[in-house]
Amino acid sequence: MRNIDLFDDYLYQRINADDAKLFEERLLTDADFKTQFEDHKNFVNLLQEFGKQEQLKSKLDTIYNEEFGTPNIHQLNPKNTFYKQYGRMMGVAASVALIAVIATITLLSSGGYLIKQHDTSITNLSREITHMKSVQEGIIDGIKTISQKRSFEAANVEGTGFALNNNGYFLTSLHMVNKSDSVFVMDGEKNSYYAKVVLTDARLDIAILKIEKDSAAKFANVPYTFKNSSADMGEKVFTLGFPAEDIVYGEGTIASLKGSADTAMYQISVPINPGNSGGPLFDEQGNIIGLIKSKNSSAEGTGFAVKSNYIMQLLSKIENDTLKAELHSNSGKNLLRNLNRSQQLKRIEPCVYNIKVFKGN
Amino acid sequence: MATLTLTDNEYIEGLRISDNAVIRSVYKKFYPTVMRMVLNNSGTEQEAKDVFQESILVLYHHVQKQNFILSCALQTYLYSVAKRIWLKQLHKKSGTLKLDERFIEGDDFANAENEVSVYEEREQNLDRMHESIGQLGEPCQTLLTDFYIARLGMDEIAEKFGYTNADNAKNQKYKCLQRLKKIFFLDQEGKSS
Repeated sequence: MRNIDLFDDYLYQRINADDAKLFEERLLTDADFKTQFEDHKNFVNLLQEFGKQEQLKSKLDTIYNEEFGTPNIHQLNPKNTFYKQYGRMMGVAASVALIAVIATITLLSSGGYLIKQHDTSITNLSREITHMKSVQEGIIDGIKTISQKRSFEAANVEGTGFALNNNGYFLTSLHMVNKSDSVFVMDGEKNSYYAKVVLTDARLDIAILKIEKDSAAKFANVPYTFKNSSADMGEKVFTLGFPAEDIVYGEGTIASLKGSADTAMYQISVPINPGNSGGPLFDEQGNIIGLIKSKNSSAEGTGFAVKSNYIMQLLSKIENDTLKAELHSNSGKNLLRNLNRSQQLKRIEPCVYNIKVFKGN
Repeated sequence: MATLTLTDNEYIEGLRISDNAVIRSVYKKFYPTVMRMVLNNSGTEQEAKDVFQESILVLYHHVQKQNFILSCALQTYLYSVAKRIWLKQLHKKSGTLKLDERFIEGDDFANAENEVSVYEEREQNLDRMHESIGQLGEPCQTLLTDFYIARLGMDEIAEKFGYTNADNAKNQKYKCLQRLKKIFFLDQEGKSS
């Protein structure tokens, strides 16, 4: 085998762990081999950086033309011809890869229950936020010399999400992150991390987010467990969420074991507001029994939460074993059982996050 | 109700992975001041656009490093970097060394000069790579791009280019890469002598 093939296999992680180990040992003992490898790696890095930069330039051009462009000044920068030729192909390759990923992780039939997502009396609880008009005008003021301005509006959504485990996975409501351009998860110290949507289920209206591995985020073990059976009517429940910029506590009871005639949901009497979407619902012992989904806008004080046992069932049906293992909760037992409420909240709070969704235009 | 705007760190994170929505909002938020600066200092819209995009590339280059720390507001960073770039171009064009003081706004980022020159050094290599790839011709151009940039597997490449198997594709990739390196390094020697 030629060294370069070996280098590429190693760089692109196309060799097994044993061979990788042998490879690394050889790097330590064979100085000539090591030099060859370093040279090759530097060259490949330059090639990759070049590719990424061309891609970025092309994006910048597109955005410029869409946002500020006038028909007359489209000048072809000779440096951009490479991407113009190959960019589309790279884009196609990227989408093929993306579709493949989605295909492997998209689930799944999850039973015959129904969430009436289009029922007009049910309001999803994400906070729709539109940039203030004055901000737009401030920006537009700066570019009044350019004709054909595009709209500067960008609608954004905020809500709540919570840690599924200590691997960087989070649960939230699908209706919040649906059709988003980017999703950020913000912790109590207002550090934001870029998150990817790795799994969605439209029927339960849930989404699982993942924070990229290379981010600086550190994840604590979650102190709670997920209840695998149904809770009872009349049980006292509580939630933490972000109806405002800061975390808010709310409590109430389980009003019905069916939410809007749907057996996958609880009807709850907990004061909830836009921004609570995607938040956790706990029983008195601190078990997660549901995920806050929506409220009935025509009957104040009535909310709906997706039952945790339905969520657990859904996760157990994932066919991708690696993902399934990664999603497994780290907590074998509920550490909140014998604590009073304020102690429970102190433990839970670091695991509840403000989810910021950017939907672009 | 609070208005959602991304923090500087969110912009940096988004730019690091070249996120479309984030790049768009960077453009919308930070371009107008840079544009004003260029237009008010004898530049055209096209030049303003190029200066801004170059500034984004400078930032993009630096945020790829894991130890990147933004030591001033992003607004200040981009504006100061853009100012350096435009000053250099003005100097080349007309020998002007100074911007019209009346139009200089915002705090200055002291390290901007260095950020720009670090990038320019790297950019020389990137430009050379661009020229070398341009001279390579097909099918090598596409094949190397597919493998090293789009990260297609050898099987996919073999199928796409009609090679009988992945090994043949691998041989072809090897030859193409050798050619690219030859062009690249010859070019380099030519330039430095």
